[in-house]
Amino acid sequence: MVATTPANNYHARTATGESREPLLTLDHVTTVIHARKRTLRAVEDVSLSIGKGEILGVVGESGCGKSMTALTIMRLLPQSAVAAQGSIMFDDRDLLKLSGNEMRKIRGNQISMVFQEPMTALDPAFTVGSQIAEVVHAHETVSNDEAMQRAVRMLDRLGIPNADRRANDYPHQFSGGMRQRVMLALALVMNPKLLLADEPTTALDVTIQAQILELIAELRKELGLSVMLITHNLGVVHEIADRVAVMYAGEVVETGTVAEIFSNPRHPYTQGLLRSMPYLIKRQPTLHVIPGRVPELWAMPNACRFAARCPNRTEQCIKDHPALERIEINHELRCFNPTSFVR
Amino acid sequence: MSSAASIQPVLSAETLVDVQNLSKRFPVAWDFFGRPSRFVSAVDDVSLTIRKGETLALVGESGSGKSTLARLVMRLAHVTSGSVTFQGKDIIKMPGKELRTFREKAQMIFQDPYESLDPRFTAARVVAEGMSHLSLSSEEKKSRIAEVLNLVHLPSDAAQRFPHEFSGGQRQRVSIARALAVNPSFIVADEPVSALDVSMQSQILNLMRELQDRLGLTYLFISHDMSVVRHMADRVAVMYLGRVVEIAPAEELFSNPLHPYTQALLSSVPTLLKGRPGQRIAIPGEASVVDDRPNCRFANRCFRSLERCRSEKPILTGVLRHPDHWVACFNSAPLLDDGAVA
Amino acid sequence: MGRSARSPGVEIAMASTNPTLPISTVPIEEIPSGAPGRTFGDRMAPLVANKLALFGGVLTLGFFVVAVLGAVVLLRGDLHYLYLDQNLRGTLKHPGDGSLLGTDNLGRSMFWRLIAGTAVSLWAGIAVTAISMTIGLILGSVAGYTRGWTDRIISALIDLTWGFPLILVAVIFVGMLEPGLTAVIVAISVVNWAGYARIVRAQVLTLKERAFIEAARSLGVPTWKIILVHLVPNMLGTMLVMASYYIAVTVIAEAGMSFIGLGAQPPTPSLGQMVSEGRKFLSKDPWIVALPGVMIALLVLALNTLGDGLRDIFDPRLRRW
Repeated sequence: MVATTPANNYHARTATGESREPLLTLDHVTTVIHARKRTLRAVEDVSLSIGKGEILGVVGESGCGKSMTALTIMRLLPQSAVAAQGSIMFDDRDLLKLSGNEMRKIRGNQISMVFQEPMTALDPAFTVGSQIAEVVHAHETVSNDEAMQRAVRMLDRLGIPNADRRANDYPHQFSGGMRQRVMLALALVMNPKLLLADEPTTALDVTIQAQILELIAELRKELGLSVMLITHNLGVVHEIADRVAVMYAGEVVETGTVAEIFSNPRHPYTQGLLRSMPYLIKRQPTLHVIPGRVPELWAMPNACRFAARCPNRTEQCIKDHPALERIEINHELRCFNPTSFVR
Repeated sequence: MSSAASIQPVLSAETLVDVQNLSKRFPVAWDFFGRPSRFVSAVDDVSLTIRKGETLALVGESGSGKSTLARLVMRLAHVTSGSVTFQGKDIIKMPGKELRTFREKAQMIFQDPYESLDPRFTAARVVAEGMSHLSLSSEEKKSRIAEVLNLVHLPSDAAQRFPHEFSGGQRQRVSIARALAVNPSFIVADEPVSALDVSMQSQILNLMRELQDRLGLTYLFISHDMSVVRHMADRVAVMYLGRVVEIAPAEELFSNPLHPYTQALLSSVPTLLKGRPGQRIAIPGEASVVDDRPNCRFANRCFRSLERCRSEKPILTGVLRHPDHWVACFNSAPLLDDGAVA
Repeated sequence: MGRSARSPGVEIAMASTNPTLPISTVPIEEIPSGAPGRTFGDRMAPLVANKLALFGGVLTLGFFVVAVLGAVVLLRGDLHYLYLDQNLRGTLKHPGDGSLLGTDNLGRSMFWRLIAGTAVSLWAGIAVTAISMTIGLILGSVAGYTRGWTDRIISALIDLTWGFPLILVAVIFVGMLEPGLTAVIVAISVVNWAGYARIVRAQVLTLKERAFIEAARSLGVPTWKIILVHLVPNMLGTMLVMASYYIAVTVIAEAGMSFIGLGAQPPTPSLGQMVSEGRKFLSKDPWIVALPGVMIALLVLALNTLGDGLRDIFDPRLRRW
């Protein structure tokens, strides 16, 4: 009665790690926040793409703009924030140019999002089944029965035992991992093409995290779902992502396939991140530390944003701002002075 | 040592904290008259010792009882049964004056750096809070505050700042400074880095190690993050639903886990290794316990469970091969060489 | 590390001079200076932005000025003539007809009576609120923090007091003491504290779960100090908002009691009293009732909208921490 999953099952990478046909393309997207007296550039000139059936990991620490990027795609920015530049191409349409109504038809239907804290994302006053059915009703005209049936099927597909009974339970009657599955059900009931997952497993226990990640990988295989997985946990990215984009201080600093980035990271920040993570196998006398702090949003340098903390800093780095360039077929980098990675 | 006793023998190192058969029960059902009829133990008959100068890690997921156990040891929650002794003295029934001394020697660091500091207190005031009854002159207090902020590597102007001016990692340092101000010998750290970014985690962990070396501290380190534990711990105790299921020195536990839960836990951690040595062990369902019946609480999810596991409670038993490795399991077995289960 | 008789600082210094320890790898982090903190302007911004609240604030300020003026008049014996002087030949004059706001049936200046009466109402409101809040704060905090039997007793007391009709209590107190402002203040305080205590208790119940309270306990800080130093300051926002609403409530209560004759007794003027006396003249000289009535309404409006504004200022969602 042993349930083991060969670890390789997660990785449905193409053999050469090429990116697939692009589903979503962000092109020089900038999001600014208008605060009192100041304009803060939370997302700066971000260009990314996600292929069909691909899992893109977006990695960075808190405040790096990864969540804002997702909210910009969904056009769910807070009132004070606005996407000032760039385009987001999805299915040959620029999401940033769509009207509110057109965008509403896309949300939950073609592009869905799940968040970190399932308890706050679910309405405690309604049963889980009715909330999922509500999504169905929002996009299609169906009978109540039909909507409920689809909700129950979705709950079942996502591994909730006794789904037909559980659909009548309220969110507080579910545990953390189960709630996250409910969130996924909400997001996937309309069979969207793209799922934006913002730290979906951060609040969960590690054994439950393993279950949820496995679930996401399965759904990708079964439904051809593309996933933008936002996390600060490099280990999670290594487990299920195909490609990874590293963000720092609102910018994308490095992108590439997982294999490439983990074996040959070129950006000093990526290297620093990889070195900072305590390895499970080897104990070290002291952990590597990236000195300094992320610059505050209102004090962004005009030159390279990582320069103040960078061990490879040169004259040019504090004067000019590096652009994101393709250095290899699967590897983009924003750096004037990269070095090879020595563990 | 294969004794069936649930007490670990005290080895040559001096014991600082001795926990014996500690339990904390909560009522979960009441009868018609409002009297509790059914209980669940969040901490169920736990015994362990913490040796002077070591870092004992308490590992488990939500519901494991590790945070509750920490608070019982610090006497921040009421004990239902069992005993906790600190330097040989029972702390549960300690009278007021002695309790104050205990509170100087045993301190706690909390998980959430954004919540563990009163937003209205300056850093100096936060650090000084525990010192108020020490009858120090105000110069002595000031120099002590400066000293302790220096120990945690905060700049000198930090004293007059408010929590919202600090980053998460800095707030955690202020928390540590607060704990150090009363000169403790024992620190309980409840998930001290879980709420921090990765780069700040390294800083705080390095700081904690440094402080331990400099000041001879003993840590009870609670975490759910196995890689952090791997870095910090001398010994590790794994908890599941209120019980200690395995306890061993860190290296031994990571290289030779015997309890099926420990094996699954270690296997679930996303790792940065390129090819995993073995296979991932997936355990279905979630952890939940309904009452205090005698059984193994992991049985319903276990891949090696026997009939016996549902009707008898396993006791921590010494492992033959290793003098300090204990497992509470009727069917423990090592993983095979490729990491697969036996 | 045992406790020694030396100052703890000395021990630490000795421990850290161990030459075999490695140089620290932990960097000293600068705290960014020039981080724009919350200036006074930042805090006041929500109040200014909310036009209605700003209106309430300004109006309340106006009433305060009036109340101070009125207090001066009431307290200085030589100024009493302003509202006491009767002019039986100039009774029931319309506003603008010689005098600013007219005169009442005894020829007294409505203008000065209004000022004095407003002062009485507002100060009574402040006095009652101060007393009720103090009682409510103490009892509510103790109940919420200590729980157990203390909580049960205090909560029962709150529920009991909560249900008491204000007028009944007022009548009882007036019977025990003399009718007058003191009796009214005591009566309303005796009933009002329950509302505060309830809200304070609820706040304390959530506040005490916060980690910094647990930290204080682990440091051995005694209960009374935790309540005083941690809980109360973190409830100040709520208390301020409640105060503004409750002063308004008290103003109405006092006016009501004066209306039925239980409040401030003549010759001390009171807005409720003036409304009551003016009833007889409602048909022909309505300003005698209208003016004090409008004052009451405006005062309450000012306090309520100010309360709304204060609530916006203290809204934690708008804060950065």
